[in-house]
Amino acid sequence: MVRERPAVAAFAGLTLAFLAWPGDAAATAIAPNPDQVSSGSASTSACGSLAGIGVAWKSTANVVTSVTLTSIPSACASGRLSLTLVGSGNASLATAGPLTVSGTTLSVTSLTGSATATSVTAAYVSVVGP
Amino acid sequence: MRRTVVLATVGALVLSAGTAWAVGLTVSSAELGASSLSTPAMFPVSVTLANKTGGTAGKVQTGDVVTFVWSQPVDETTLCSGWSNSSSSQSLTLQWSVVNGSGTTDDTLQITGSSGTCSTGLHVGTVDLGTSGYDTSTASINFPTTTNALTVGATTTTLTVTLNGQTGGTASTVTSGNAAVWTPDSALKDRSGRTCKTNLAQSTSTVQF
Repeated sequence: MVRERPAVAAFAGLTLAFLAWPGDAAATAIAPNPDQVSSGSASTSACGSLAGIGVAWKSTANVVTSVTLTSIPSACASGRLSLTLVGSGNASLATAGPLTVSGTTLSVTSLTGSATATSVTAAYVSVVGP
Repeated sequence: MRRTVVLATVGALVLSAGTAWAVGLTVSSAELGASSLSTPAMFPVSVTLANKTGGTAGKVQTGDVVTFVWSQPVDETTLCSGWSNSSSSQSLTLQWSVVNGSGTTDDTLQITGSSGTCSTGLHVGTVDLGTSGYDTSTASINFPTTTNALTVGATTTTLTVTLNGQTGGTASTVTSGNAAVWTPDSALKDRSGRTCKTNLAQSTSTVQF
């Protein structure tokens, strides 16, 4: 009986090890679960109201080929800005970014997708921190 | 007992390795803001500068047609003070010119004439032709009897400009250029009082006329 305890404990240790290893092996095959990246915390604050950003564009044959954003809050500098032009039913027509904000004006010259200018009903913009 | 401790420790270390790695991560981005933005309602949709049938491509001449399209029905009184919104079509003879850009500055197409009907001018705007080669003299190429035909539709407005009566300057042929860019006149408004602000339209062609 006395000799069995180390054996049992050793088995428990090995089992623990085996339980750990498959987790690591599986981690290489699946996307990380953000819930597990939870140790510690970071506080962030908004860089200002983005609702006041002005939108102007250049169209070629009624297709938006570039967009100029103005009045970007200066606190957003160095942030990464993404833009989406949407049409009826909030359907995405064209997207751009993320682009690094430098100053209060940003020229967006590369759009993915084709947005017919007269079909655009709104633009959505987001900024994430550096 | 010693073996027990060693094996258990190894297992615990392996088990905790993932956690330790996670603790070492730095969150590299955080949302600083997001919003829905208003987009332009009144803006220039397109500009085309077409060669007349049988004309020389790349060379401005009588019969070439320039077409401007706005995204809204315009307030015709802001385009021409003598017009009213009671009619969906208007026509006016008024001089346009290709103005030579000094040095390497691009030539421009713009209204240079005056009209009693439009006492403050016809507020269309100017077109940067994308290169300096259309007029190779310092004098402007004028088209004094140009027809300006306006059609106001339910959702857009079209102005068709047919160049006519060419005189002055030196019209040369451009074989390689850039897209033309139309900057609308800030005085023009749609029927809700909106201007085109800083919105622009550019041609699909890199060689005009």
